[in-house]
Amino acid sequence: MELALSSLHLLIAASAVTIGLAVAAMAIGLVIGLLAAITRVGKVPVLEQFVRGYVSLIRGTPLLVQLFMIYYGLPQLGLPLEPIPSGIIALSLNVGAYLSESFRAAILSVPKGQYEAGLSLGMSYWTVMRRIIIPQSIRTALPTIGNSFISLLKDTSLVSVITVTELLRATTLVIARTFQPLTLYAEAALIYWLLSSGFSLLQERIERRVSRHV
Amino acid sequence: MSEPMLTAEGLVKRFGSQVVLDGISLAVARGEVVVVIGPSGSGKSTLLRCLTFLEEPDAGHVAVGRRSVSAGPHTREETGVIRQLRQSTGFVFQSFNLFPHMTALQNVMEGPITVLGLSAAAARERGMALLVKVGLREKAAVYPAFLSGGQQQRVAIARALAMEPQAILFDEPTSALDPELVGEVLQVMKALAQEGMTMLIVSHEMGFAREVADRVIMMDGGVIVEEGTPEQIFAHPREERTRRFLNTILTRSMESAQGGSPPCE
Repeated sequence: MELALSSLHLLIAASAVTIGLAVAAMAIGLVIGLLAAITRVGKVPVLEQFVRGYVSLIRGTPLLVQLFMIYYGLPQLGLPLEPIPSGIIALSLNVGAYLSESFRAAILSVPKGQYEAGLSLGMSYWTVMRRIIIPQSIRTALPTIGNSFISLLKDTSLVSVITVTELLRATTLVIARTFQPLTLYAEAALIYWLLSSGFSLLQERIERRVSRHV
Repeated sequence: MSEPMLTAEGLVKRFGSQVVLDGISLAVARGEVVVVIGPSGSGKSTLLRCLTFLEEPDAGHVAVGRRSVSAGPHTREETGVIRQLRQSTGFVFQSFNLFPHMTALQNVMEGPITVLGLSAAAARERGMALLVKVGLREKAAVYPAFLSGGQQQRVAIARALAMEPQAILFDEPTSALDPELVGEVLQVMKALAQEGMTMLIVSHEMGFAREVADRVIMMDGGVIVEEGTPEQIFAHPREERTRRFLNTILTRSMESAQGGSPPCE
């Protein structure tokens, strides 16, 4: 019990890194995902093929391999990156690919009449996208965006293997000193669970807020 | 007839092997109200949709005011002209197609702001004036999901009017409405007609056509079968197809008036 309490502040401090990684990767991933989805739905030549390849590659390979490619692989091309930027890049690219599929499905679910109503006012295709289709899609995609974020939050633990001291690595370091794996891993698990639950609540509130008009 | 506001020449539209528009030509004069009638599948809606290139015609030519475009493929310049053409031709849909994430007022303001480049304040003023005009001042801040069908369609008409169009196309504007809500929409349309708006209306509301139309066009099989004043078409139809169509409509409305079997769609 004493050990649990004495290590708690260390683990909480490390959780800040975990949250930071997840939030940063999510922010970048949302931009990547939205742009990728628009590229595919709008059938932008060349880029569309590129995005297709990107999504297929990310979804078809383990996140750990993607992380190693960026952290250990890129230096060979003369692009050495620090652990934290490597982690954020790998996580962003990964979550971005999944989000692009969510956004794409959401965009395609907006009825054709919405495009026609926008076009009939004289809007360009891209204005219709920006003003009419995307705002409605984001609402539709919110539940899956929330799920992706919860997965991402837990996936940040993989970044511990490239020496980023987030929650899992901090836990392992304490265990190396104290030899109490059960207590400490349980403590780490509890923190992950609390964080996930907290963000789930936040997600519900956001969903309620944006669907007040339906 | 004065100089035409809206012209179509030789419009052809095929879906696969089916010819939906078979070389239709028509002209609507400034301030004229034209009602298009005809059995379902006769190409009425497709005609309206081709006039604003919501449906790409396979051949033919459309002109609104001074702007004219021929069937595609379109150059970048023509795409711009199509946009201007849509801007000056309002379109009212059967299913309203209001933007669900915007209030009634925001729906009306959207075109003026994003397409005409009006300031938010100017668009708001124009939007409010139009909502007042269609009798929905108190619904300005309400989202479409909380409006009745009739109210939604009136907002949609206000949205079209906000672009200050030269003509408005109505694609069966009351067909999706509960019977008791049809009147309020027709009333708004009638007021517009009296103000001199150029209107091309696809409708099954024969009473409305008789009262408001300057001209009635009977379509069947992708061609214009017959056209004339409401008096000519409804009282003295020359074509067998027109007579048959009017008979079905008449029987149907009498059945529903007598509380008999409900009209089948």
